[in-house]
Amino acid sequence: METIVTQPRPTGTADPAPATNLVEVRNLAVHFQPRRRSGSVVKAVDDVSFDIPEGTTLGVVGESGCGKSTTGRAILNLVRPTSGSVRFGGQDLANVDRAALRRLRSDMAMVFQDPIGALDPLQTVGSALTEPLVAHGIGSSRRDRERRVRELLDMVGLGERALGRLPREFSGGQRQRIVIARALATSPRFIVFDEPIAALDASIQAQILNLILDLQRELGLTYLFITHDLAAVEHVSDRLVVMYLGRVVEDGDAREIDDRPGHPYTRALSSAVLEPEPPSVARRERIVVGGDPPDPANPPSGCPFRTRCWLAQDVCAEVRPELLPLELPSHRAACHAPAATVRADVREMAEGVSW
Amino acid sequence: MSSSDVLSRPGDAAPVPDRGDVLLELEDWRVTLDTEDGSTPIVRGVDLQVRRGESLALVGESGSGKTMTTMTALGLTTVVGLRTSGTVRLAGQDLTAMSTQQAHRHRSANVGVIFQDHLSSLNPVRTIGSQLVDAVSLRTGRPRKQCRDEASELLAQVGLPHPRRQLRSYPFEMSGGMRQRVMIAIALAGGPKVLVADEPTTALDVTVQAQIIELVDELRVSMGLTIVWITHDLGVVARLADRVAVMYAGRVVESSPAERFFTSPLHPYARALMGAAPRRGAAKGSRLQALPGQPPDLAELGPGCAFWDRCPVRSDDRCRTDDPPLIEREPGHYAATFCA
Repeated sequence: METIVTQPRPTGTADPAPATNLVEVRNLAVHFQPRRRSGSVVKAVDDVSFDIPEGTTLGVVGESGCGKSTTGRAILNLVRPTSGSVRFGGQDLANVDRAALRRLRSDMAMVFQDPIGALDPLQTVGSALTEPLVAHGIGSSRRDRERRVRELLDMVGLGERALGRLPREFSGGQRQRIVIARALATSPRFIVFDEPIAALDASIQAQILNLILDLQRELGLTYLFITHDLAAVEHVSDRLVVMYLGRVVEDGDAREIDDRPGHPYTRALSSAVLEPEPPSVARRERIVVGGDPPDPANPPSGCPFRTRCWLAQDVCAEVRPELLPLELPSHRAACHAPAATVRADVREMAEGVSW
Repeated sequence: MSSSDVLSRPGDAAPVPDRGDVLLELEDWRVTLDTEDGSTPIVRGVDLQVRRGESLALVGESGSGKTMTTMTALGLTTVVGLRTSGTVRLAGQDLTAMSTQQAHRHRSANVGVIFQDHLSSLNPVRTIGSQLVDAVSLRTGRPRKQCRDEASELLAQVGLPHPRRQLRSYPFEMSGGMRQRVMIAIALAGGPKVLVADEPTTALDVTVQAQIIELVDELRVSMGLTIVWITHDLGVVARLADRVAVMYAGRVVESSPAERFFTSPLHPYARALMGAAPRRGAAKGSRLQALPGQPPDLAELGPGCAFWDRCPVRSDDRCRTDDPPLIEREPGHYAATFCA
């Protein structure tokens, strides 16, 4: 009895085939050497590969310590990869000279979670937005730059009145708009958002998500969207990468992963998402995995998730599972659980049976 | 799974609770903050009833007054310049009519509190055991030596493996999830009737959040606890509340059994919040129904509805001139709006 039906969903983007990759990450690894000899190497990111086609969003999902932020920083060259490569617009970032790197940098930007820490409390908004213009030699005159700053404020929905004011005069949501405006200053093609709405109030989160989506549509931007929030990331992403303990455990089309999560960890994450829905629906049986993510300095052998996995078998402790295609070739998961098990579970989920 | 209809509503088939069932009650609770610039009302007349065994979610954004209401009512705030008025009845006794010391004793015998910040709530240089023994000794009045067994019992109840051994560990040796469990154990020392949880899962990973929510749900049943859960997260509310009270700008604007709240919210603010949440399975890039603007500055509130300037359905001039009272619209379901 084959009951898994793929609901054709309208996807926001057209066929992705013609798009070229703006970002190509291959076997990226970032290892941190402890200061003391006795400590063991922390593999914050290990063997991570993905592409981000121009104009699309890749969502990176995972919990604290999974390496999602380090991945974002490595792409922007803010931390040096231990091995592997990051190609941006076809150029390998490890092999470009300083001048070229500087030019490439103006094509990239980053928006952090904490809009308070990201802004200098003593610097006016106008000055904060002018700084990157001066640093990158944008605008031939002061007037030019002033015009650009006004334009930036307008793009993020803030008025000119913001210019002479200090960050503390703004609410959290407005501060995040200022941070986004600053990220847009150099007209980047690519922005890394690291938990951009996590610190915001519920009624403000939607405003910022809408702004992020609108800017992508208007400016054709390419995004890497890092978060622990599966509902938000599915809303903005074309493709998803699910990370656990420094490694990719699942990747694929965002809608496909939402419909049919392949890796047990993704299913646990998915089950942990709490939506505002009637309690009679919200209190269905959920997967609650025990324990905390393991210490990255001392990861389990084999599959990193096996210590918390309810499907773990002997093989999981011995062999690290590779990312292998599931039903669609573009959807992969790193799990030893035979496809049949996964499918049976997913079918039960689709039918609302407790699992 | 707990039934969502634990709350009995007047006029329902369910038994009507007598007042003896009300464990915690706030009547016209008001908090004013006095500063050099004048005084600002931050809680503007809150009425709340929490029944025995019930799980009430107090929902609101930052600045809505949800934490202030609870913490001032329970005498747990040390902010300078706060003035309060109104009545707080806890387990049948009026806290506001007691001496500070009496109130403190009555409160600590009946209420346990867990906070969001599990790291700074624990003393980093003392073992978990000694802090837990402190709590048990303080609550029960027994000498510390006799409290060790209960301390390890508490750790077992909150699901920490090897409780005896854990008593000797320090906070830094534990993960965030484990520390939050320790906080719950401390809150439960001495067997309180009410557990007040102020955003206890906000700083945790989602899979750990799920564990903590499940734990509190279990403890509620096994220990017969009454829960007041302060949160901004409607998803958390959906998972664990019997009843919901939504606060906006220092007032309760809607109060309802949880099921009714999610199926038919009445206040435009509650409706807007639900509409603004990203949902699973939506098409990429579909716009969210974002709520414009931001919560009002409480120092500059006008006479009308505090939600007026953000309200998508505001209608007549009355919204600007009159603050709508909290009125029962259907049995047990209250809303403070002219627009529903």
